Amino acid sequence: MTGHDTQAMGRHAAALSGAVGADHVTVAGERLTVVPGAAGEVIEAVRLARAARLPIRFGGALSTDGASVSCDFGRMTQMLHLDETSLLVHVQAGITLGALEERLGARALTLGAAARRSLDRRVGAALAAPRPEEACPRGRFLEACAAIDGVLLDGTALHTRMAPRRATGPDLSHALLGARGTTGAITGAWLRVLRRPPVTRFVGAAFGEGKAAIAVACALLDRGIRPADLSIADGALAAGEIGGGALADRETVLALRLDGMADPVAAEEALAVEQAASAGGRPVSSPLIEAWLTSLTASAELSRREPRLTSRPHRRHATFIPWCDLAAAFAAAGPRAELSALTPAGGALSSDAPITPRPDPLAIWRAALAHALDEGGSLPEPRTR
Amino acid sequence: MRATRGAELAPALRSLTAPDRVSTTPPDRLAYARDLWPRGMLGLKTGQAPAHPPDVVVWPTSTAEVQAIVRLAVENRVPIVPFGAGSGVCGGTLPLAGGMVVDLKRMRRLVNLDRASLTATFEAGILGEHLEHELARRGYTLGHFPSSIMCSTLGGWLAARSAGQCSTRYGKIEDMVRSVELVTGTGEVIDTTGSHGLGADFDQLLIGSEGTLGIFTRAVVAIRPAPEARILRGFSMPRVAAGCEAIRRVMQRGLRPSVVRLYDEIDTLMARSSAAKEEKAAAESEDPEERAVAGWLGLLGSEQGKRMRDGLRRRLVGAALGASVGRMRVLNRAADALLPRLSGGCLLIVGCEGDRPLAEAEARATFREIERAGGKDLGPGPGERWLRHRYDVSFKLSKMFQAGAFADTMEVAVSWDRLLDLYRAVREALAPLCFVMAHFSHAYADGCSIYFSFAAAAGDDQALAEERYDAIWRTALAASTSVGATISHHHGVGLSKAAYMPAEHGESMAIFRALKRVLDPHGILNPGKMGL
Ligand SMILES: Cc1cc2nc3c(=O)[nH]c(=O)nc-3n(C[C@H](O)[C@H](O)[C@H](O)COP(=O)(O)OP(=O)(O)OC[C@H]3O[C@@H](n4cnc5c(N)ncnc54)[C@H](O)[C@@H]3O)c2cc1C
Repeated sequence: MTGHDTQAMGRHAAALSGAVGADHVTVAGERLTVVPGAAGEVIEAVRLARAARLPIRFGGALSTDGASVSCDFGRMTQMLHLDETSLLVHVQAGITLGALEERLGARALTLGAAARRSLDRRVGAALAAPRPEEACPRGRFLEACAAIDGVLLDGTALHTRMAPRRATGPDLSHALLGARGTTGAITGAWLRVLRRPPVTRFVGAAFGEGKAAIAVACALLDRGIRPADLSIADGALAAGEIGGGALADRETVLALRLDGMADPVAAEEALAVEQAASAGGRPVSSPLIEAWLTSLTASAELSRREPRLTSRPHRRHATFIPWCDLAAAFAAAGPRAELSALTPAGGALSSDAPITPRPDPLAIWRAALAHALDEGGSLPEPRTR
Repeated sequence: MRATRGAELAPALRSLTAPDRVSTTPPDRLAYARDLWPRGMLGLKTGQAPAHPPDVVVWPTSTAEVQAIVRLAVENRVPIVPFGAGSGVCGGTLPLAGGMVVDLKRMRRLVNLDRASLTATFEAGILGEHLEHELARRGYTLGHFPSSIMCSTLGGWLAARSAGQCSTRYGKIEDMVRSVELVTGTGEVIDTTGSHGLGADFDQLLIGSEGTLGIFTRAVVAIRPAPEARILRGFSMPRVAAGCEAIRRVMQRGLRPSVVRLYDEIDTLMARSSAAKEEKAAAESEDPEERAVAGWLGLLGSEQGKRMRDGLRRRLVGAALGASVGRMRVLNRAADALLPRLSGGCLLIVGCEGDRPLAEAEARATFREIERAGGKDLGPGPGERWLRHRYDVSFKLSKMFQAGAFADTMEVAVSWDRLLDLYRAVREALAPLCFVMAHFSHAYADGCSIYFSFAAAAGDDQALAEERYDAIWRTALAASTSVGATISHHHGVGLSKAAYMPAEHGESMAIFRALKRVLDPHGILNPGKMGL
């Protein structure tokens, strides 16, 4: 126990109950769980935890040893505002991508391909702890975030202001985006949404070697095409999931989902077919490709509805690999390797073999920022000369 | 000129760098005492000495030298102003507290070009034009073409979140960066290589800091093969609103034109008139498309109409430059009333580029959307003319100043639902104060930037000019923020907008201040800027 005995925990629970309501606070040993219903309640919880010197964890983040407060966003699932002129939606952090996608679907809108494999995740979690597979050639899900509401560790409430782009200093929302809750909590977000595309096509090609499939993917992106999905499955994965019968032994499959306006989609399709053929790729039928790419989304969807029924493939951990290392990493990745979320910067590699996460070269700076924010209010204003 | 502590460091700086890369001479100190902030130029016009010359100017050639310079400055608590090419328009490089100016322009190498990853590593002091040239001769482009490309650097672009003319396709500079190298205010180096893909973008907390958090020394940027085809087209839109609607539809259909520029009626009139000479040649052209454009530019095709329009333009400009403040509103009202009838609409220039079949398909879809929104196709002429003259603006400003007037531009941005409110609010608010026109460029699926140009005069009375200038900016920014627009889309904040930062960011300024405490704990980097 870290100086917080049962009595003290009881007092903290009572204080938190005052903020979020007694029904939304549970105590299990040294762990207090609060389930706030609004941004103001999260802020209150952060302030109370700080006053009580209890570490606070957000969303599914693991609790530390010892006494702590865990903040669960399960009640903050509202869509607050939809601006169909600017294609922006304002949501609370606890709504899942799947639930939001469903609501948007009713208005012929979508979050886009980058969100498709994480439909079971909450918006706040996907923004605070993005995964490499939450991307597509058109960008990362993170980039759909136009502004955030949040609270810093010292209890300061903040709202970054909405603007399509700005030149008014650093993009301050990045202090919380991707920071895994170390600098504070995201309580809401403005997300860019898309109109559902009028035309969708699926293109696939099988290659004797993974290297060739990667080279074609790279060439296509270099030539400027921006598919909604661009994924590669190694021989073992392709045989099991795309259609063993239609593929020769150990063939790597390149799969594309193209969508948008009819003219550009047709041009992209022609280019993809030509590029694949010129590299020795054998066409794979569109329905097979469609079934595979859709199954990835579907399994995310299923996992959202029935978490116990499915565990793959999006649950396999992926790691981001830049283009220069992709071919070697793919070859070495082990059985059932998949490259997804290919963007001009690189792709997400997953396989059945465990993947060691890469160390964050900027960890020290992030920690320093978190520390400075934690002490925010209490430090003197920075000196200027 | 008073020499302060910075000058005493000159010998130490010489030994850290080289004798010929440190200067304390009056001409150098004078040259580095300003950027292209028009307010600073008002004083220059009347021969006034700059209020804030640096004590010493130094030209490092490597990251290690920059580190050593910063450490020396820290030890002696001497302020540093990082300097690119001084093309900033917000007073960002003004050495408010004297000290050192660190000019990065001798750090100008292409360090590496990675064809597999399509990235290039450049030192931060390279001028934009040289950067594009280095890439072009290897068959690539960055796709970043600010109007100031000949007089701005990669470091300056990163520092001020610059936008180029093809941002609609390639993004702003912050979208093109894969990693940066930055020397902090303690002399440490942050290299963000390898952090991309891990989730958070630490880069985005550094980019846009305008020299207040560190000195950019290098960047890895995404490059593309040089476009195989470029298709440009002009359209006449009946009104500004129809033009905006056309752009919004294009962007929200997922199309990626490289250029989108919609000129309001007055800006259209100016654009046409400055094309008058070319127009005359075109009118005699064999090419029917060129003749059609010339006809349109010639206002309904008639000589009489053309004379009327040219006369109006001359009177508007003349009146703007000579008008008393009291008559400005009348002038702007007259322009508003007459222009819709005389100008024949608003000019919209659109371009698509890239791999030929893709660019052609994208152009077909884009042009169709514009026609659906009421656009009349004017053929390639207006777009090609724009392309030929796209950097000309850089050379016109000084003529305005010589003529006893002053001019400035304000680039603000907002989401689509409030774009026309922003346009009207700023024009309405500025109408009594100056002559104002605007174009819309840098479009996104969720919003767009408006680039307002304004001009006014105060003869040789510097105090009056400054008073008018300040009133115009105060009014324009108040009108912008009243509809929820950001105060800058790509010029940055510097000194001119520093006072507006708390309103722009609200409580989030706590994050900027925390970054300042971490990266520049002694407060030596570009003090007095950005409202820190
Ligand atoms: C005629 C004209 C046209 C323009 N058109 C455009 C346009 O189309 N698009 C656009 O975005 N801008 C435009 N600008 C504005 C200007 O060119 C940009 O702001 C540009 O990014 C400034 O670059 P620079 O190298 O000249 O920087 P400077 O003016 O030297 O510096 C600008 C700021 O950046 C800081 N800085 C410079 N280098 C570094 C570095 N290496 N590390 C850290 N901080 C640094 C400085 O301290 C200062 O605060 C235009 C300006 C003019 C005069």
